[in-house]
Amino acid sequence: MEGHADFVAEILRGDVKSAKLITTEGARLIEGILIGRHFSEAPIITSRICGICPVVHKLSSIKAIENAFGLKPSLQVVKLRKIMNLSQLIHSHALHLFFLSLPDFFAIENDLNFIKKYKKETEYAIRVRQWALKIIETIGGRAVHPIACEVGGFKVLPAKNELVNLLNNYESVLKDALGLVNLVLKIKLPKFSRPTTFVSLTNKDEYAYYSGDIKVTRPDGSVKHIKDSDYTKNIKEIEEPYRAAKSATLNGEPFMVGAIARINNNHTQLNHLAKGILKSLKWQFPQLNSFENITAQAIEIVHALEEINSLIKDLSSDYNEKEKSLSAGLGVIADSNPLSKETIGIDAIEAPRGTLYHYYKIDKNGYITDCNIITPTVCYLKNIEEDVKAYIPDLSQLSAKKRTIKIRGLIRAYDPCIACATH
Amino acid sequence: MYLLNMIRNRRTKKPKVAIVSLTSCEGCQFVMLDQGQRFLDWLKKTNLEEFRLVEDEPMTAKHYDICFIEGNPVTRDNIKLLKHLRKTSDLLVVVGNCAALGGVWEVKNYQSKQKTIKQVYKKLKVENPDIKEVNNFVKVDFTIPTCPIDGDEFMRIANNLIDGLDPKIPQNPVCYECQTSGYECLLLKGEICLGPITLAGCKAVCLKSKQACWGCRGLFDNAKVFNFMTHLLNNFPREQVYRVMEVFGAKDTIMAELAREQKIKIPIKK
Repeated sequence: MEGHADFVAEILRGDVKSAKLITTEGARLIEGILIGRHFSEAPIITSRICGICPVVHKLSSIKAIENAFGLKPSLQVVKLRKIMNLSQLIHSHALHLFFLSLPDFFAIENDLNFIKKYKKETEYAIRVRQWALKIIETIGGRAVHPIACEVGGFKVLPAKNELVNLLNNYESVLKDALGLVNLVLKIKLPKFSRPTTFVSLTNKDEYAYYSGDIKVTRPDGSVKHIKDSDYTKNIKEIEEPYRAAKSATLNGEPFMVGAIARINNNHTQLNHLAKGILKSLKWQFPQLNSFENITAQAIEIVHALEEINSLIKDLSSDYNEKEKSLSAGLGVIADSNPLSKETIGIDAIEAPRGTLYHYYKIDKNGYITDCNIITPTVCYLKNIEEDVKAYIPDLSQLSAKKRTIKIRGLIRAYDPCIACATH
Repeated sequence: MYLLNMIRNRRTKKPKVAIVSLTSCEGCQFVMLDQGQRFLDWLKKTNLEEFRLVEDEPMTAKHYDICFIEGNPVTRDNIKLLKHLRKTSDLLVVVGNCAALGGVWEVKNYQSKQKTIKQVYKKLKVENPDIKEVNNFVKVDFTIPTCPIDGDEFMRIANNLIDGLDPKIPQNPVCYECQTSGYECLLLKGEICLGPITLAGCKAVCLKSKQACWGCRGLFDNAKVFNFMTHLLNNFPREQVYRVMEVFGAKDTIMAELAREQKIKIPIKK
C-alpha cells in the first residue's frame, strides 16, 4: 500500500476486543506548515501530501482558495481540471488494482512475482496507466506534482493539437482497460457484508467527481444531503494514541468513502459501458462487501475513460489555448486577498480513495491563518477497523498465516494511503 | 570511484537493490514506477530485494549493493532504518528533494515548531524534530535531486549505477536548460526565480509551465550565490525571497554557501 502501517487485533476467546490500524509514517504537519504562508504556496505544498494523488490535493486547495476569493474559473478551465482528476483516478486505481491488491487474491505473496506471471495483463495495466499519466503531463506540465494549475486557472494551456492527440489511442486503451476489468471480474472475492454509512459527493449533472453536495446513505437506506461547505460541522477528526494519522467520524459514526461509496450513491449516472458492466454483475444496492471496492474501482476506470473521451471532444470544439488564468498578471508570493478582508474557503472533491476536504482561512494580506485537510483514508480508517472486527470471527477456522493474508486483503481492498492519512 | 568498480567487477551476478522510503509522499517511487516498461527492463538487470511501494514483507537481506532512499528521517524508526541500510549497503543513493534537501516539511524549521504542531494535534504527542537532510545522519554516495525526481534522469543514473559507470550530473544552472528550450525568463519578467543558482537536469520543467524555479534541485557546483542574492535582495523584499527559498528546503544550503563566499570575498575588518 502507499505508506506504512501495521494491524493489531486483540482477540479474547474468539471475541474481538479491539482492532487497530497502526500507522508508522512520520507526521509532516502540512496544515501547521501552511499557517503564515502565502496562499499561492498552498497548492504547491499540499500536492506534496501524496505522490499518487497530487492532482486532487492541488485542485482541492486551488478550488478552496478560489471559493475564499469569490473567483469563478471558466468552463474550459473546469473541464481541463476534470480531465486531470479523472486521469489521476485511472492511474491510481490501475496501480492499486493490478499491482497492490490483486496479488492478494491470486495467492501470490510478492507483487513482483505477480507481474512475472501475468505478463499480458501487466501490459494492459501499464498502457492504461501511461495513457492517464500522459494526459496529466500534457495538461499539468508533469505527471507527479503537476505544475501549470494555479488559483484562477492554468499558467500555460496545452495546444489544441496536443489535447486532441491524447485521444489517438483511446480505443486501444479502452480495450486494455476492459481486459483489466475482465481479470478483476474473474476473482472470487471473499464473502463479507457489514452495513455501514456510504458518503460521497453527488451532483445532479454528472457522476460526481469534481464537485457537488455530500450525499450520505445510512444503513437503513435513508439519504441525506449536506452542503460541501458544511463538512466541518458534520465530519469530525479524532486523535488516537496509537497512530499519528487521525481518523474521522460522521456525526459520531464510522463511514465508508471511495469507489464503492460513489457507486452505491451515484451508479445511475455512470457512463454507458461502465453502467453495462455494473449491470451484468447484478448487485443489490447498497453493496455491503468492502472487498467489492476493487470491482467498483475497475468499473470507475471504464467510466473515467469514457468521460475523458467526451470531455476532450467537447473541449476541442471551441478551445481557446490563449485563455489567461484569473490570477495572470498578479505576482505570486505577493498578492493580498482580493476581497481586502479575512475570508474562508472550503472545498470538497472526490479523490481516487474518496472525498477529500480542504479548508483555509486567508487574511486580508493573502496569508493563511487557519487550515484543515481531511483525506479519504482518514475518513475510512474507523470503517476499516469495524470491518476487520466483523471479519475476524469468519476466519476462526483458518491458520494464523491464512488469517493474516485474508485480513491484509480486506485492508488493501480499501486502497489505504497512509502518506495521505499522516499528512 | 571504488564502489562503482566493485559493482562493475561483480557483473556476473546481478546487483542486489533496495528501494526504500522514509517519511515522504512517495512521489519519487511513483515516478520510478511510472517509467513503465523501461523501469521493468531496469529491474531485470537487478536483484530487487526491497521495493516498499509494492510489497509489505519484512526486510530479510543482510546486504545490498545499491540502496535508493526516498524521503526524510522524521521519526526515530526512520533514523534507525536509515542507519541500518547504510551499514548493509555498499552504495547509498538518496532520491528526491526530501532526502537531499529536507523537502517541503523543512518549512517547519523556520516556524515555531510548537505552534506548527498545535495546528495539527491538540492532544496527541508525535515526534516533531527539526527536519534534517539524510546526509546529516549517514554518508551519502550519490544524490538524485528534484521534487519529484525526473524520470529520464533517474533511468540514466540508475542504469549507469548498475552498469558500473560514474553517473555524473552536468553542473549547469537551470537557466541553461530554460534558455536553450526557448522558455520565457521569469526573472526578467519580474518574478523571483532561483534558476541562475539551481542545478540543471530537470529540463527546466517548471519554467515550461511558467512556474519560477524554487530551487528544489539545490545548488550546482560553483554557483555564484553572493552575486545572485545581492541582485534578488536589491529587487525584491527580503521576506519574499526567503519564502521562495524555504518551500523546497533550499534556504539553509543557499545561506551556508553565501556565508562561505562572503568569508572569501569580504575580509573581516577588525
